[in-house]
Formats: sequence, structure tokens, C-alpha cells
Amino acid sequence: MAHRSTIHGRLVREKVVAYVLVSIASIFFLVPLLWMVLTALKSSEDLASGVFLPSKLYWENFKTAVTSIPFAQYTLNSLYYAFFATIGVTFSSTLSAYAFSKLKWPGREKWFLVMIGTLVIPSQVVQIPLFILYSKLGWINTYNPLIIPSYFAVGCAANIFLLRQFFMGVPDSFKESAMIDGASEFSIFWTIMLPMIKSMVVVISITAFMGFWNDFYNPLLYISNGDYFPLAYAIRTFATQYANQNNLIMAASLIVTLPTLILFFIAQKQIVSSAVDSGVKG
Amino acid sequence: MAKTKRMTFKLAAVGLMALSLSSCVPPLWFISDAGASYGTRQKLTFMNLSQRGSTYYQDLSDFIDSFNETDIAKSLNVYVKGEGINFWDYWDKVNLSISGGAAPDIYLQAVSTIPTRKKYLLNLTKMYKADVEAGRDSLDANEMFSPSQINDISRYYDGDMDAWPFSATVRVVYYNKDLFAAAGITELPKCWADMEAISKKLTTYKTPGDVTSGYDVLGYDPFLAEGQYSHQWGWLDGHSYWSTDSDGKPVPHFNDGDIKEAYTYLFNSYVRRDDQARANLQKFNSEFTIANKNPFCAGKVGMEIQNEGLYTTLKEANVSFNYGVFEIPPRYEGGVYSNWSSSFSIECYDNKNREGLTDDVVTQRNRGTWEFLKYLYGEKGQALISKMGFMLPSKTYYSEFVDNDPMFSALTKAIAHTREAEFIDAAPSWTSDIQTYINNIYNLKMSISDAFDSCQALMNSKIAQYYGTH
Repeated sequence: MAHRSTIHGRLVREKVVAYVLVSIASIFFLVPLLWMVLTALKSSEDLASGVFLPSKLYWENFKTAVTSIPFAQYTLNSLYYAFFATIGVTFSSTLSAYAFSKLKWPGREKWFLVMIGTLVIPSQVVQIPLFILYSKLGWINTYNPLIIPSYFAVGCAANIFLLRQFFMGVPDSFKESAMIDGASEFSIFWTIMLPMIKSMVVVISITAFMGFWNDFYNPLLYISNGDYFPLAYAIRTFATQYANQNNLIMAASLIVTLPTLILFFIAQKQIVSSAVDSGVKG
Repeated sequence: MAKTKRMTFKLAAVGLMALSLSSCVPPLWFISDAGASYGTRQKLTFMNLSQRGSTYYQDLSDFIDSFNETDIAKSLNVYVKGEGINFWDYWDKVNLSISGGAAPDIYLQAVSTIPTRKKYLLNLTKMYKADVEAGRDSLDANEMFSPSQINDISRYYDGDMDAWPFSATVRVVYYNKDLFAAAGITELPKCWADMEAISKKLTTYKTPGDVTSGYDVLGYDPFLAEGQYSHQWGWLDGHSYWSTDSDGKPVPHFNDGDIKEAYTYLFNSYVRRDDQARANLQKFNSEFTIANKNPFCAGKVGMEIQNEGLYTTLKEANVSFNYGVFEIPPRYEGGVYSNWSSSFSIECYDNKNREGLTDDVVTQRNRGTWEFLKYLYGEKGQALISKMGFMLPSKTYYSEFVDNDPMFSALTKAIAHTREAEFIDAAPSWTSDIQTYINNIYNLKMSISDAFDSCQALMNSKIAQYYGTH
């Protein structure tokens, strides 16, 4: 009995230490967010005085942020870009990963290494050749260079690697049984394999969406026409216009960040479970 | 049922993919593509600094639309589309677009770097001559711009203009007239020694007579604000930073005795002459930096070197004191006046560099771009540029937009003595390269001699590196 209570006491102590450590670590992540929220709610006078807490919640900043640039159009632009590029990434990554894990073809392992090798190439290195290519294709100032490459798994090596590990964790017997039943390769992929790694697919899609939603670099390179700016890039315009008015800049940034935050909270169960699964299966 | 569901799902997936692939090229329903209404007219892009949502975006859009409605735009079958980019991204964007083969037809850049884009530029002098030969109305650069501005651009092209100055940037001395009057100063300084003497009269301490109490009013610090750039001081002392050797290679002169001596003179100015004075200056500067305020706008500086932008700031701040400007005097009375310009150029891309265009289309697009440029330098365009707060580079409409404003009028007088930094292939940004070492002088991390020796060594290494690979 005494031994049991000793173990119980130790477990409680370990839990307390863990919570304290996690709480301390969370401060580093929460304080910037809190600062962002508080700054977004400050009046210009509060901002100038440098107080940490706003003397009065100044919601007007959000109105200014939304009305001073064509926010609705930029949001639609972002949604369009992020939505279709996410479909592209999900579609091409899962297909590629399936081909690298469940299809047998000559040179598969070598090509997989080549694909993994692309991870070490900094994206900046290929930016000029890509720009010239897209320019020759007449794609500058369109969404083509932002969306179409995602359908060909461009820049998806990490996703493919993760998905391949998950596919490899699914026993081949499922595939063999389906083949005996006369299923086509695509049916096996679509109806059997894909549902079995659903959590990972969801995670890939969500992280891809978040990446595209927040993408600043590619629109900066390929879009010059203000009518096509996505939000993440348009916010830069806003920040230039309202330089030194951090309250307005933070209000606008908060609005831009909100969808990805909400998405993360909705899908955090899937993200955590995929992380756990990857530990077991990967 | 399950089969139907699966089929629907598959169809939806394929449909979404097809939709996304097919609809990547705008216009999409939520995008208001302004050029859509111009049908088959050739689209010319004007990359500029007025991004959507900015103060003058609509004014510029209206101006561009008004050009698109002109007979000349219609007869040439072209229209202009504005592409506004925020200031911080603009420069990379323009350079990437040009080098990547998707250059805008007309854009702003820096006069100092024109030679790097020489092969892409439309020769504006030839366009003018073609107008004259054809009997068309045109604009003569020689009548619009000052000789100094023309020289800054044409010196690289055997006298031809491959760009025009878009704005004029001048560095001048702003002075507080009220402080001058209170100190009994009636004459403006004509040399550095005069500046020094006036600085002494204007400088006051928080506790009168107690130098340890810190500056209440700073008479003048040559290195405050835009005075920090060292190359300007050399020019005012008659120093030339570059010469060429017999092979035409640039030879730097950054550690010559005269420039070191001139800088030593400035560095030991009244408000910097000893440790106490320097400590006071540091305290004075940090107080205003922390408060994010301009000390001149606060009425605490007698004279400050600044560009024309300070005038806008002063107007917006609605300051209560009287102020004026005069040109930065040369070191000795009767010396050569000079002020660093660093102004914007406006450049037209020569469409013969674009792939796949017929000669007719090249001519059509180049004419269209040229006509738009002329429209921009016409009365309507100059009115807009003036409204946007730029200093007009063209003298043509000074009587309407400049002469009625004494400050603007005084600022534009300094255009006659503006000077761009020499373009050096091996060190195109030499003015900012050397500034790192010059700042070390202000921060007391390097002696004047060591700093200029370092500048010289840096330039020598850049030249050796450049000519070793070219």
C-alpha cells in the first residue's frame, strides 16, 4: 500500500514538473500573441505612451484595417489560392507517396532518394530559373505559378516522405485482397489506402492550406497586379501605408491570422493523432 | 448507394481539379481586372509606388484611365495598366521582372543605377528626335531639366537620355528662423566656418552656462540626419573620390589626406569638440530617438541637413515656428556648391528586348510608352506628381505648382547643384558600402584615419575582384 502511494506521489510530482515546464515554455509562444492582441486594441495615444494594457479597448482599429484596403477581395484571392493549391498538394503528394511505397517500378528507390535530395536545395536557388520559365509561359501576374506546380508535387518532398512512411505501415495484404477482388490500382489507392491514412492526409492538407494562406514570398515574386494580391502580401502594403501605427498593423495581422488559428484548433486532434501515429508506424 | 457516393466524390474531385487548372488565369469573378474593357489594345504596364489602398492610388488610376481615353492611346491601340507595389518590395520586384523577362513597360528606378539597365532602355532622345522629324508634339529634355540632372543621366550614353528624372531629391540645410532671429543672426552662412560660428551662437544648455546639463537647443551638427553621408562632404571640399587609370579602370581616393582633414574639421565641430560635448550630443540624439521625434520639428535644432521630405513632415506637424532652407555651403566661400541627389528615374523598357514581338508591335508598344511618358510630364501629370508630394523635376510647370510655395521654390533652386554618385561597375553601391565605416567614426569605434583607410581597402578589393572576373 505504502509502495503504491509512493508511486502515486512520484507520478503526481512528475506531472506537476511537466505542467510547470510546459507552462513556462508556453509563455514564449503566448506572450507574442497576447502582445499582438493587446496592441491591436490600443488607441494611438496608448501606443505612443507605451503602456502594456490598453486604457480602453479600441475596436475601431479592426474597422480601419478592414476598410482601408479591399479586404474582401484580398480574402477571396487568398481563399482561391490556398484552396486550389491545397487540393493540388494533397492530390499530388498522396499519389506520389503511394507510387513510392506500394507500386513496384524500376529505379523506385533511386528516384525516391533524388526526390528526398530536393529537400536540401534552397528554394531561392531555383527562383530565377523558375521565374524565367513562368515568364516565358506567360504566367507572370496570374495564379498559375502559385497553383499549378502544386499539382505536380513541386516542393512537396517532405509531404511525400511522410505519406510514404504511412503507406508503408499499411500491410500489403489489403492491397492483395483487393486485387483478387478485381479492384483497379486507383480504386485500391482511393477506397482502401487513402482512408487508412486519413489523419495524415488531413494534417498535410491543413498545413498546406496554412502555408498557402500565409504565403508571402511567391505572390511577392509572381504577382504585381494589385487586383490579384492575396491577404498575406496585401498586409505588407497595409503595413507600408500605416508604418509606425502598430495598433492598426496588429489588428490587420490578427484578422489575417485568425482563419489559420481557427483551422488549427479545429484540427488539432488530427494533428496530434498523426504525430502519435507517425511515432508508432513511421 | 455507396457506389453512387464514391462516384460523386470522384467526379467532384476531378471537377475541382479541372476548375482550378482552367481558372488559374484571371479574370475570375471576384477580380476586377481594369484592363478587361480595352479589348484587343496592347497592354502597357506602369509599375509604380502607389499600391492599392494607398493615398494616391485612386488619383493615379484616374490619371492612367484618362490617358487610356486619349486619342493617341486609341490610335496607337494601346492602354496602360498601373501596377502599384509598396516601397519596400518595389525595387526587388522591378529588378526581378526585368532580369526575368517580364519587365514593365514604364517604371521608376534610381538614377544612380541606370547603367546596370542600359541595354534594356528605350533611348528617349531618339524618340524625341523621331517626334520632331515627324512633326509631332513632343517634350525636349533640355528645356525641362537642369543641366546637372541631364548630366547625371546622359554622361553614360554619349549625351543621350535613356531615362528621365522622375523626381528631384535635394539635400539642403533647414534652419529655424525664430532661433536665428533670437540669436541676432541675419546673414545665412556661406562656408563651413560660418556654419560653425552660427552653431555656437544657437547652441544653448538646459541649465544656462552649465555644459554638463546637456543641450537644450543644438545649433548644428554636420552629421545629424542627412548630413551623415560622407561623400557629400568630400564633394563640398572639392574632393573627387574616383579617377581612372590608363586602362579606364576606376581608381578610388578614399584615404587621401584632404578628405581625412576635412572630416577631422567637421568632427571637431562646436557640438562635438570634446568628450563632454560628444556626450551631450549623444544624450540629445537618444532623447529624440526614444521619443521617435524629429528634433528639428520639435524646434530644438537650429540647422539640420535634410532632403525635401522634411518639408512635408513640417507641414503635417504644423509646427509653430518659422523655418526656411538654404543650400549646404561649400567648405570655403566661393567654392562649388553640391548636394547628393539619389533621385528616382523613370525608364521605358525597349520592347525589342521582348521575345516573339513583330517589329510593328515593338514600334507600337514603344510609341505607346513614350506617349504615356509625355502625358506624365504634361500639365495633368505634373499636377498629380506635385500632389503626391514629389518635387517636380521638370521646370515646365513651376509657375503653377512650385513658385507659389516659397519653400518649394527654395528647394527647387538646389536642383541646380544636385549630384548623383558616380556609377562604378565594380562597386555600384559604394556610397552605402563606405557608410558602414563612416558610422564607426560617429560611434567612436574607429578613428577617422582608420575608417577612411578601411574604405579605401574595401574599394580596392572590390575593384580587384570585379576585374579579376570580368
